[in-house]
Amino acid sequence: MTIDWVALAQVTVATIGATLIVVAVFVMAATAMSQADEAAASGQRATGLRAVGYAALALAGVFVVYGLYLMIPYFHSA
Amino acid sequence: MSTTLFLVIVVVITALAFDFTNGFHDSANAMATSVATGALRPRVAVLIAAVLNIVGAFLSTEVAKTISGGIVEDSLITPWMVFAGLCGAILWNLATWLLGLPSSSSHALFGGLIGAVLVGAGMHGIHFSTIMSKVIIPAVVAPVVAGFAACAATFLIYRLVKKPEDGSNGRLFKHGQTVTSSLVALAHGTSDGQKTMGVITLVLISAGYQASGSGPQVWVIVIAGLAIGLGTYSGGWRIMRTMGKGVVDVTPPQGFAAETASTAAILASSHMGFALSTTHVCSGSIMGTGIGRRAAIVRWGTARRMAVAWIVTLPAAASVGAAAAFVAQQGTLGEMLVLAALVLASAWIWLMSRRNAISAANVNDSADVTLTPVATVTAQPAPVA
Repeated sequence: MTIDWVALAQVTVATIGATLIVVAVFVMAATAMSQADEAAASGQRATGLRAVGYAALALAGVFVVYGLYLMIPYFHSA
Repeated sequence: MSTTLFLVIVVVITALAFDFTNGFHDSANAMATSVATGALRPRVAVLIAAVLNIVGAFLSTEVAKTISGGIVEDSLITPWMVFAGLCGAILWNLATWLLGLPSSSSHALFGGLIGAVLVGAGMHGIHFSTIMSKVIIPAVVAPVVAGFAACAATFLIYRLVKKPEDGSNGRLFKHGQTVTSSLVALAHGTSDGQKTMGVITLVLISAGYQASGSGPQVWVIVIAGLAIGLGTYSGGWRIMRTMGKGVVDVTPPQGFAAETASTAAILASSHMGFALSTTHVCSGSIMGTGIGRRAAIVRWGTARRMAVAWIVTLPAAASVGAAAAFVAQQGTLGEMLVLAALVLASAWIWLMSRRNAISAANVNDSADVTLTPVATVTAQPAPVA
């Protein structure tokens, strides 16, 4: 019986790593956006915070595109 | 009509029926959390999942070379064994749906085939070490890995984001959840849509209707894609309720954490050669997200019932597959008897489900899936001691 322990370890690390990266980016977007809302509510300018928020969301979008790339076999078959 | 053609037609129809149950069983994997949090309305959720499943099925038509992937001795498999195996898988899928329990459709199919081959070809037809490495180990790993990822993700979100459920934060997580749920649905279409195509194609080849080594024919791709899509659209609301409300009352940040972990686990496993079942991954993620949020209440009773289903799926489907194979191997009459039994049992399960029907309209009304109607407004009278 051969169990592919290496593949198993890779899957474990990749799953946890990828989840935490995506979540960290999303947490950044949520935090920046809500701080921008607070700043705007108290009359301050919040352009920088908004920009960080949108940049984080754009990065999340890049992850989605990468996910689609992995999912669709067309991109892999030579 | 020759007996071969008759058998091929029967296998194609049961394969499509299995594909349909596969769709409605796994609809919840992608969409239960989005339905539970209200990120998507129930009908919209299953429509998106159905379309993405069909798209996925068309995107990925590279059918496996063997029906079982080496779990049983593929050279010994005959069309009637495939038929008996499919019967086992369909009945197990329907029975677990009736009880509102998620269970892996791949495990059901493997179980059915194992049972059928045991009866048809004997012990030497079964590759026990492959079952261990390709079925049992991944089944233990999947919920643990996805659950840990979802748990850590949930913990981080609730630790780092102030009021993650409210206002713009809540909306952001709902949008994120919709996107990740959709990715799960698409990934499901690319993997499971192809399973039925493979079964039909290999049966056509073994009966001599198609050249050996050729890919699925266009009509096979179309009907297999449609069967899984229709199944997904029909929603499997009983399982949807258990996954979305039964284990944990999922909030938008939890839904986002769970679906992100599921997507990551499914993509990582399918690209690193350690295939994990979508159902095991998604159930694990949902439990993990319940543990990750301190205020959440995990209903361990439901979790325990899911765990039992997870263990029993393979042997249960194998038993039905073995019984079906025993009758089907008697010839055309036996096959017709099995088919009649399958139809009757399916109809009976459906009738049982009508006693307490669960639909898009009431999927979020309760956390429990019961066989008898439960009064939702008036409390049950306490049992007299």
